[in-house]
Amino acid sequence: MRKNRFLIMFVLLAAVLMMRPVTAAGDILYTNSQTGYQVIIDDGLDLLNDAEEKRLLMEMMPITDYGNVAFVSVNAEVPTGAFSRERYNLLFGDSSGTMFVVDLGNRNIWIYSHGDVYKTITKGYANTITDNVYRYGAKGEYYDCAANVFRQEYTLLKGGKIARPMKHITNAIFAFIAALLGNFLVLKNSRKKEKAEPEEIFAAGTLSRIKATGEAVMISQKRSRRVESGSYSSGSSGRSYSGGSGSSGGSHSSGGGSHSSGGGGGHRI
Amino acid sequence: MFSCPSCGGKMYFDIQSQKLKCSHCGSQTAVEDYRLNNDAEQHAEDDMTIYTCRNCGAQLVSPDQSAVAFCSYCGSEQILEEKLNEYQRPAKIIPFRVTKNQCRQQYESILKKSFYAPKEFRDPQFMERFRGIYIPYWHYEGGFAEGPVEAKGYATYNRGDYTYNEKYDLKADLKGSWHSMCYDGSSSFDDTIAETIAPYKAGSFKEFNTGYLAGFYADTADVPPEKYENDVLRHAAEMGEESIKRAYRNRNITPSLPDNEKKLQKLLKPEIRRTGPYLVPVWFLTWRKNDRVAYAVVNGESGKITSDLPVDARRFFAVTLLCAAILFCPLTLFVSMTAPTALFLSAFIAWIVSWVYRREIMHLHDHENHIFDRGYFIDERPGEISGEKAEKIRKRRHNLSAIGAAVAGMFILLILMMVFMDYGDYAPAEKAQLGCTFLILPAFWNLLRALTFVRHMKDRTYVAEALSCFAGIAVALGVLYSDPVYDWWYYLGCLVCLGGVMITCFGLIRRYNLLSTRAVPELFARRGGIDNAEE
Repeated sequence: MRKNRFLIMFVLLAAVLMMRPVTAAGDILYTNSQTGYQVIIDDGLDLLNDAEEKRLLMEMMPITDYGNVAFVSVNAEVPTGAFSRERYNLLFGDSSGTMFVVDLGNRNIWIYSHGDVYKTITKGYANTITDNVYRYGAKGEYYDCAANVFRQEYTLLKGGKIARPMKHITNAIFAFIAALLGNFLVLKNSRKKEKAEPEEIFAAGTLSRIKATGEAVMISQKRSRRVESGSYSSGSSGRSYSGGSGSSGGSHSSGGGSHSSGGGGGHRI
Repeated sequence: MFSCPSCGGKMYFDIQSQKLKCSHCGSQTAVEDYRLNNDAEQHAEDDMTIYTCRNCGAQLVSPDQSAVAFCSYCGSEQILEEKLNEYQRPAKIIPFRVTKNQCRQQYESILKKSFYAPKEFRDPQFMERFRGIYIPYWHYEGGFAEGPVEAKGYATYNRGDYTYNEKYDLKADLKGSWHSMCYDGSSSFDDTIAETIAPYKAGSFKEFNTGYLAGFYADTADVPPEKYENDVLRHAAEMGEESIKRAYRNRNITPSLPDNEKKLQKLLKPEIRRTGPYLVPVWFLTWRKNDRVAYAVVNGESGKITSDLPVDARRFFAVTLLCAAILFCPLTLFVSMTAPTALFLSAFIAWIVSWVYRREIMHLHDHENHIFDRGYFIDERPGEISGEKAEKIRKRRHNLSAIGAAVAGMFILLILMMVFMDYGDYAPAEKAQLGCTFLILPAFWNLLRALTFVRHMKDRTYVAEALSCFAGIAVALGVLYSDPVYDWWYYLGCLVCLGGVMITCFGLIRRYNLLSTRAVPELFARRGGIDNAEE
């Protein structure tokens, strides 16, 4: 009887696991049948109750038209940016998408995007969105915080605009200060006066008829064999130049790739 | 006065024809051909009257009373009085070649490019006030004392697989002379102006003839010729050094001559053999407002112009607002930053402005204390910087300017990379905190330097201007280290910081107008350089 009970429990558990696909680090709650993109909620800190999770899922689903989407809550022991990148790789690999992370360990919220989605939800927009929603996070209203993030992301992905009030205020001040300083420096530079040295006030300077004649008596001579390191150093210099140039190109291209493929931004909460 | 041999009318030196021309009948006579009998010639020399400006003490000489209507140095009118004094005849002169009309055209072309120049500078009546004036220069001639110059030398060369190092005992003979080494002889004429309108052609000097002064006036040399002796000897020693190096160059021998200028002079023994005043032509336009004057000065031989042009603050701020509006568009389209980054950027701008302000205040200090006008220090003036100290400051500025710019450039690059580059997974607030920490020390250095320059100034607004940027950076650092959650703290910090920047920026514009004008020269006891030379 007891054996049967264990067997039934095992079968049920297996059935549940089979019905609800699980990634290495979160539940796949929805898969867009047309695009194949998925929604994952990995609320490790239980910040959302079941009802909130369901409502959040509804907010996240439209984003799957453009890419994968995830919500993660965690007490990260590494910087939130590093954690986000790693967790995204774990969840979606190289597939396009966006992920919102609430990291209570570092008291940060973070948006990480990748692939085509990153072309829209850039680092700048990630910072703007987190700027717009961090107040909810600071008050512990994590559902409102996350829901607003996904709402604003969806607005951007479908080509809309989001409010950036402080950006305009700071940009206006910066524009004024930069114009003031730039205008001043241009003025200073345009009125810069070329000056001659006191001795050059008369062209051709001082007219001189000075002539020196000299004798030279050698008092010592030392002869030493030239060290090979001279030519070696020259060869080495050539090698180093060519190697450096190649390596630099490679690194640049790799950096470029990394930049365009993913990144994000966040805010303290 | 020069009378016309045909009609007895007044003659003046006509620049276009380079001859004396009668203002009445128009007849022309070459200056060298204008003959007076002995009595008349003596009379013409006696007619050279020295006028002393009651306001600034400038001494001007002219055979023509009408030429001296006002003092070009301080702009005072009707204050010139005749003073009977013996005038030392200059040895040579470069006559005027640029006419007043050409001078005005040059000035107008400068004004066209200077949108911020005040309206009154464009007034045609004001431009009529250009006056031709001859500036005295002390002319030095000399050579090197007899006797061989003994020094060590060395040569290094490669032959085959070997490097040869040879040492030599050198014995050189330095023969010949130098001339046309000239230095400003008038304390009223700022050396920095002379250096800006330079050069004059040393070959254009002609034998002095009083006729060249007809219609113009000349400043007198009040700086004693001994004032520049050290400069003359230093320059002569440098020429001697170059000659000796040249003599051994074809043998690949490098003479080891002393770097120290005193030791070099002792070794090469340059000596001054003759000194005398030479005159060079300058067109002078003086604008005066309250206790400041601005000059436009044109080289009377080449037409090269320099002008002090203050800024019309209204025009300046109108253009600034327009630029700000234009700049706002790309900023809005392409720039987005977090609140901590915005705060860092505010602090960074504050640091840049504090650096610019420190440099401006340093220039203002040098400008107001005539640091680069060596002729000004003919006498020690109580309460003012001494000539010796000015010399030390000049050398310090010369040595430090390039190094300072390089260090500042590297620093700016480092800080910007630190904050704006993607080099790790740091939050914007962490990067901003780090960047701002690096800013605070150089900002404090800027503050200290600025305060050393302004400490003697009565106007306390200088201190407020120097402090406000530093205070802004300190506030920014405080906010970043307190690490608040709410953005409005950062934005408040931004506003405080940028407020400080604005105070300093407004100060910069105000001080710019001091830098682009000069204090009205004050009356002081001018030693008669010419009189000295005669003693």
